[in-house]
Amino acid sequence: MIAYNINSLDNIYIHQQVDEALHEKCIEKEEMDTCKKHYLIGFYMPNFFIRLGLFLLTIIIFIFTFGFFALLFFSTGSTDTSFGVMCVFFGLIAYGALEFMIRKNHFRSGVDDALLWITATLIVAGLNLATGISSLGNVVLIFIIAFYLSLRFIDAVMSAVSCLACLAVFFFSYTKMGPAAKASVPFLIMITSAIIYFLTNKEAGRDKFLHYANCFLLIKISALLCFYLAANYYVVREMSNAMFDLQLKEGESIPFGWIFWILTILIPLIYIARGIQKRDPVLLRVGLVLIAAIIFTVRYYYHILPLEIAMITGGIIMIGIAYVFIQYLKKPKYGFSSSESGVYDFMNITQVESIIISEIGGPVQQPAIPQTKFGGGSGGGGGAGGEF
Amino acid sequence: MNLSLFERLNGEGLISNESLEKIKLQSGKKILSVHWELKTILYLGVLLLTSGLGVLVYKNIDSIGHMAVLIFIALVSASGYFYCFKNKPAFSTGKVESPGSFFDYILLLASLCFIIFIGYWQYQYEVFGNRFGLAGFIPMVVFFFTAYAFDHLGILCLAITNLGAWAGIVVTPSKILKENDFNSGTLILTGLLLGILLILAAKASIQKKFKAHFAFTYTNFGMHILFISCLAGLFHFESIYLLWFLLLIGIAWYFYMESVHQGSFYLLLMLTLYSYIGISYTIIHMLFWNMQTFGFYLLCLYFISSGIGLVFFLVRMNKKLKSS
Repeated sequence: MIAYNINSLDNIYIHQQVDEALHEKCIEKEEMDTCKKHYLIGFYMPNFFIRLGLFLLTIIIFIFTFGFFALLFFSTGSTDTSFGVMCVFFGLIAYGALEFMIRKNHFRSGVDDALLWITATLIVAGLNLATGISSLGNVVLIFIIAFYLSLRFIDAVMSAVSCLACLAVFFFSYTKMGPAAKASVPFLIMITSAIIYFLTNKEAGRDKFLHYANCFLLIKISALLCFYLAANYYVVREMSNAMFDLQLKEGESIPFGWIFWILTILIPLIYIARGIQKRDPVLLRVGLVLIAAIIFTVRYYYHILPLEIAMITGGIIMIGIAYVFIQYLKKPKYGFSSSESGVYDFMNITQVESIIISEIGGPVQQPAIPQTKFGGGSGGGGGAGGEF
Repeated sequence: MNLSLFERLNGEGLISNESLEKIKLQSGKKILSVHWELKTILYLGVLLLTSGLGVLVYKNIDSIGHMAVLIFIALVSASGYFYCFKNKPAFSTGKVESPGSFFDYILLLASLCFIIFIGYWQYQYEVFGNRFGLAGFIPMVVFFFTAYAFDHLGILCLAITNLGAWAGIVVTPSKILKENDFNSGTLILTGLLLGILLILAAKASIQKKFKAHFAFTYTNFGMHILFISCLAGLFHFESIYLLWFLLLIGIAWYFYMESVHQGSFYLLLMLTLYSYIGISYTIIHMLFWNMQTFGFYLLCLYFISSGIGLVFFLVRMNKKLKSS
C-alpha cells in the first residue's frame, strides 16, 4: 500500500532508534556509525530548509504551468464545468508526477510534499467546480481522497484531514434526520471521536503499522480535540445558534446547557489526569492546551475579574506552578523529569526560542503621544514610526 | 526504544552485549520529560503577567493607585534582577550555560518590567523630556548589557528590536512587513544602515571571540533587514532600480559566501528566496510589463523555467553544504 520503498523506511526507523540510543548514552558512537552504514537509506532526503525551498518552488512551477495552459485553452466564454474538468485533469497529472518522483526515491524532499497537496486540492476543487455537490457529498469526497492519500503516502497532516472529514460525514448525515438529531449531535461526535481515539491508540503499537506512527499521532490529537470541542459550551452554543437557527439572545442558554458546562471543565482535567497516570505525553499536552480553552469559554460568558487583573494573577500562578515543578522534578520522580531530553536537530532550538521571546517584548513605545496605550508586551512595537 | 530491534542488531554483531544491557536497563525506566511543557507555562506566565501589568498601569493612569502600581512594577523588576544577580554564573567571553530555564525567564520578566517602568515614567513625568531618543535608548542599553552579562539570547533579540525602534524601524519578526512604511526613502536607507551595522556586529563577535555564539542572532536580524530594505528600495526608487538590483546581487553574494562558509542551509534558503523575488521583479519590469497577453505567456514560461532552474540549484547546494 505504501508508495515509498519499505526497506528504506525500515532503515530510517533504525537510524532514529540508534540516534536515540546514542543520545541516551547506551551505545558508542562507533556502533551508531556501523549500524547506519549497514542499513543505508536510499532516499533523497534534503535538509529541512532545502525541503522548504523545494516545496515552494514546486508549487510555483505547478501554478504557472497551470496558468499557462489555462490561458491557452480558455477564453472568457468558458464555463466553470470545463475549468473544473481541467483542475481534475491537472490534479491527476500532479498525482502521476508524485508517483514518478517517488520512483526517483524522493522522500519528504519538499517535491513530494508539494505534489501531494496539489493533487488533493486540485481534485477536490475541480470536482466542486464541475459538479455542484452538497456539503455532505463534499466531506465524503474529501474523506475518501485524504484517506487514500494518507494510506499511500503516510502523510500525517493528510491523515488528520481524513479524520476530521470522517467526523464531518457523521455530522452532516446525522443532522439531516431532524430536530432530535440536531440536539444530540454533540454526543454523536463525542462518541465517534472516542471510538477513533481508542481504535488508533490500540492499533498504533502494532509492528505492521510502524511507518504510520506519525499519522496515528496526529489522528489521536485530532480525535482528542474534536471530542472536547464537541462538548465545549461555547462551540455547542454558538454552532447550534448559527447552524440550526435557535435565535438565542445574549445571556440565554441552550437546552441542557449545564451538561456542556460540566464537560467543558471536566474533560481537560481528565486528559491531564490520565496523561499523568499513563505518562502519555499526547494526553498531557492536549489537556494543558485545553486549559486555555476552559479559561476562554468561562471568561466569554462570565466576566469574573477585570482582564488585566486576571492576566496578572494567571501569570503569577503559572510562574509559580512552573517554579514548583521545575524544582520538584529536578531529580526524576514518578517517571517524570524536568530536564531536557530527546534529540533536536531542527535548527538550534535556543535560536528559535529567542526569536519567539522577541515577539512578546516589543520595543518601548513613544510614551509622549497622548492616549497611546502600550501593552507591555502583546501590543508592543506599534509606535515606531518616523518621528525619531 | 524498540528492544527487539536492538536485539536483532546485537545478533548481527553491530552492537556489543554491553550496550544491549544498557539499552535494556534504559528502556525499562521510561521517563517522560516535561521540560518543554514547563518552559511553555513559564513563557506564557511571563507574557500574561507583563501584559497585564502594562494594561493595569494605563487603566489607573489618573487614579491615586498608579503610584502603587508603579512601585509594584519596580519591585518585580528589581527583585527579578536581584535574584538573577545572586544566581548568576561567572562571566566569560565564551558561551555560559544558564543555571536553568527558570532563571532565564525571571531575567526576561525583570527586563520586561523594566521597560514598562521606563515607558510609564516617561509618560507620566516626562523625565526624559521630549527627546524620545533617550526613552528608547536607555532600555536598549540595559537590554544589551543584560544580554551580555547573563548570556541570554532572548534578551539579545529584545535589545536588537529596541535598537531598531530607536532607529525608527520595527524589526520584530512578525511585524516587520506589516508595520513599516517602506514607501519612505529614509526608512529604506535606515534599514540598510541598521542591517550593515548588525552584520558588522556579527563579524566582530566572531573575530574578537567575544560571545561568538551571538553572531547568528545578529546575522539573522541583519540579513532580513538588509534584504527587505533592499527589495523595498528596488520597488520604491523606480528611476535607479538597476542600482538597487546590483546592490541586491552584492548582498546575496555576501550571504552566499557566508552560508557556504558556515554550512548554513537556513541562510542559503533565505538568500535564494529574497534574490528570486528581486530578480523576478527586475526581469518582469524590464521585459514583460508592456507586452499584454503575450507578456503573460512569457511570464508563465519564465517562472516555470526559473523554478526548475532553482530546484536544481537547491539540490546541488544541498549536496555541497552536506559534504562540507
